[in-house]
Amino acid sequence: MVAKSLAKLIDEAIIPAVILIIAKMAGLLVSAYFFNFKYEVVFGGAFNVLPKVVFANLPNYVIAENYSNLAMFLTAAAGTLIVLMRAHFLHETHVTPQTQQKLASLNLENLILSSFHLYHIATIWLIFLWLSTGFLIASTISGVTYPQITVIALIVAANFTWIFAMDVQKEMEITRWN
Amino acid sequence: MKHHLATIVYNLLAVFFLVSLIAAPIYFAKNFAQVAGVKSESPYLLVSQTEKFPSMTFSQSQNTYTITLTKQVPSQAYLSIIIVNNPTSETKTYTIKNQSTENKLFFGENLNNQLIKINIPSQSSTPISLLSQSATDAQSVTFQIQTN
Repeated sequence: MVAKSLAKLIDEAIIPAVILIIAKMAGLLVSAYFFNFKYEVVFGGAFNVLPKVVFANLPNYVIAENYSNLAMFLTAAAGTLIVLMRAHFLHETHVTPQTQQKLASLNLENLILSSFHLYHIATIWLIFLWLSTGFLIASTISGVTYPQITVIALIVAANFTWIFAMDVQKEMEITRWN
Repeated sequence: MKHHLATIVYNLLAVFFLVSLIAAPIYFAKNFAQVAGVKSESPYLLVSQTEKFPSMTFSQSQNTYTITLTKQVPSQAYLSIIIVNNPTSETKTYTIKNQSTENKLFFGENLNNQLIKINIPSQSSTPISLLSQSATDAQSVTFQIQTN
């Protein structure tokens, strides 16, 4: 009933969404713990259900928010990087025979991904990466996130997108030759 | 026909679910942290009535308030010089912090019952009065209001 691609995208989006939420929470609580900030956890935050962290003053909030935003972005970047590495080294259309042989000997052939599977995962991670970057831009404009973090995020997101585009181009050339 | 309609509905729902799933971490990130007081209201409002009294002025520096006055007689009471309003949605306790013993500030207008602590219901007001018993005519009274 539901398009195969759509179902696949939903399937691949659940875990990254949960990971990013956990990264944001962990970033905020860990930074508050290490900087010894006073905070209070109250319910009724996002979706009127989830908890939210209320800081006693603005400087503490800004520092903790910056670290948590950085943690969330680095998580999105790490997820995207893993997918790009898999696209480069473990893509079934251009995996090297040596790598394939080595994986077969280790019984890890299931690490090799099809284009369908790989591009859906990459699409989701890149969407999260760019949304995190967009969030950082908005946060910088509103004076909360330091501009340095946003500039780094933009550079990382642009480069990762470019690397992914190169893999897609390679895939298209392989398809054309066949 | 019915099958096609169901396919369209299911796909639309799937798109909606996917967009929600993708937007959820950003929405969460935006709302997870907050600063205390950013969305809260002021715990009290002060309305000065000092212009109704001759030779009396009222000034404020952050949370500290100052009343200056010139008395006509050594012991003089000034009733309802300031009105305190509770703009919050709950009853609050207010306390006057005044270190002067010669110039006593109290809630209400009753000289025989000089309250320095009072509960004010939500959206209600109460006056603050002053009883000055100092020897000199020119006086300056500094005070703060604390809420619990």
